[in-house]
Amino acid sequence: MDTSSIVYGWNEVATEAVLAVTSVAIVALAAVVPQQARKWLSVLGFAGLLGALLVEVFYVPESADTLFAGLLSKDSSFSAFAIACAMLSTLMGVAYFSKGGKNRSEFLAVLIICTMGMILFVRSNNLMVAFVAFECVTLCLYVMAAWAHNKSASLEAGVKYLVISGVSGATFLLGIAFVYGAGLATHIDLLNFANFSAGLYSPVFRIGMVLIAAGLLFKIAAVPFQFWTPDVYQGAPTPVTAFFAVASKAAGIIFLSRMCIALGPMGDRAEFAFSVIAALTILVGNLGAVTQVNVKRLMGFSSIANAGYLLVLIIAMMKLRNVDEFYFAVYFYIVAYMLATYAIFFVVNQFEGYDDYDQSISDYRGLSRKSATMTGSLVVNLASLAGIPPTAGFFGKLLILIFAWAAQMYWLMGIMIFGSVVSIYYYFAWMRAAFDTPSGTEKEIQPSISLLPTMVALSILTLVFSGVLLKFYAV
Amino acid sequence: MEGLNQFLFPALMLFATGLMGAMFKRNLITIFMSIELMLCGAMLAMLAFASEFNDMAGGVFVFFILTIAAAEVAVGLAIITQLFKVENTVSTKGMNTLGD
Repeated sequence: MDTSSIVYGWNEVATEAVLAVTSVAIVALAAVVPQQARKWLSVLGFAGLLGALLVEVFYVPESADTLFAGLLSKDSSFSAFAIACAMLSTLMGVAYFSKGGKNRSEFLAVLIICTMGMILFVRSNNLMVAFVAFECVTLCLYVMAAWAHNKSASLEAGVKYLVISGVSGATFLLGIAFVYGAGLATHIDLLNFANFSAGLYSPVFRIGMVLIAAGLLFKIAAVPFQFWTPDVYQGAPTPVTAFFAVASKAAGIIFLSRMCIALGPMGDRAEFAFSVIAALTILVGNLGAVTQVNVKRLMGFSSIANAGYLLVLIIAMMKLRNVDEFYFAVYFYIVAYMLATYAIFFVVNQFEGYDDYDQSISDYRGLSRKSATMTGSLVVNLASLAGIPPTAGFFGKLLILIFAWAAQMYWLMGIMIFGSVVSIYYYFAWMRAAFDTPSGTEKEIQPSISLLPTMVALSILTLVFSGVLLKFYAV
Repeated sequence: MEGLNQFLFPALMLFATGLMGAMFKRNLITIFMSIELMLCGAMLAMLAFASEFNDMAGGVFVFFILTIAAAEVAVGLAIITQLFKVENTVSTKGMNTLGD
């Protein structure tokens, strides 16, 4: 390779650099500062995240298409999204750790390095970089899922995620090996996304792509690889569950869509298989949630269903090839999902006990008499997940339906509408519990007052976020 | 192509063995070893392609994978050790804390 033609662009990975430096600084300082000063380390972590967000918005320049000899692509909006998720998880961690969680500063270090890995994963333009970043993310997620390491629920979640993502990582890797082999056979560097549409129809390449897709479907919790989701969501500490549900899934979805875009016309062959997977994911997620009484398991099934809706969007994009509009729709949807999911987990996190794997819907009876703010947040954001206008969740689903209509995927639209109708049943059952008469056996609420503003802000955003549609679709 | 198949076949056998072990074994340590076996299979496939076509990239990538696998072992064994401390077993049979 001609090294003089490599574009380095170190200032375009400044965001990742800030995150990495913050994380290492926290670990190094945690070893030397006395116990009383430890709480300042979490302030440092939050400042690092804020700094990375500022660097991302104000410093990182508009870049060339690919950097570092085609290893990284130019920055997308995902960096800001991932950092926002990490900040919300950090805020949620304040309540989690004040309830008795341990090792707060190390938690932040792992969370921040996980965010960095996610950003690199989505930006990667080469399957090798993608694999390294992918494993960076999953290693951090094992550690975070098992964070309450003296509680069997959290450990069980950690072990289950360890086994499942170990298998999915190895599958992903075998897929990369096959794609690599297929590319060498024809002297094309197929590890680079740009070369995917080189018109290579060899069976080796196709097997590789199927294996890679299987590895990614594990990550986003799509059928038939969804079975780990409810268990891991239930056992993991609540700030981590929220991070799993939003950031990890969004990273998988954006990466998958980038690969589908890179495949070009070749991707059409996968369309039917993807449609079946999307339909089954929607059905399994929504029908599975109906019988749940545990709130964190319910959110797990809800996240499976949302992965299905996003898959519908990706299939529509593969048919329509309208990449810019697709990115707007997918970011709109995941931001709406982020607002609603984080607000709901903020409410879940306000109940007593940091090991809250056994929190059930019946614990919410009488919530409306105890805390109006929590009830309001719960109602608004559950309505958003169920797709009730005028919340952001409604417009997100509407965008997907418009895409599916334009792509003439009528039966998939039908399944999606059916799934949404079913979802109203279980979201509203949860909502109704908040207005029931309390029976006295509910868990206590330990409201942390400092987090109420965040909860309220997220709920208000859920209500007004759809305003950005006006800006984008204004003629 | 003759040489390629001689390496690719054992690589896929390794991967399949690992997958079977990860799916059907009950002991977490064995499951974990099976996952490492899957990674080894994938690495061997990568190396087979790299040496067949005389390309350096695959060989270099294997070093990255080795490092990642080592990190995974460190984290994974720590979690499994902690599980043994709390539950006094490393079998997946009794793992039913989670669920309704």
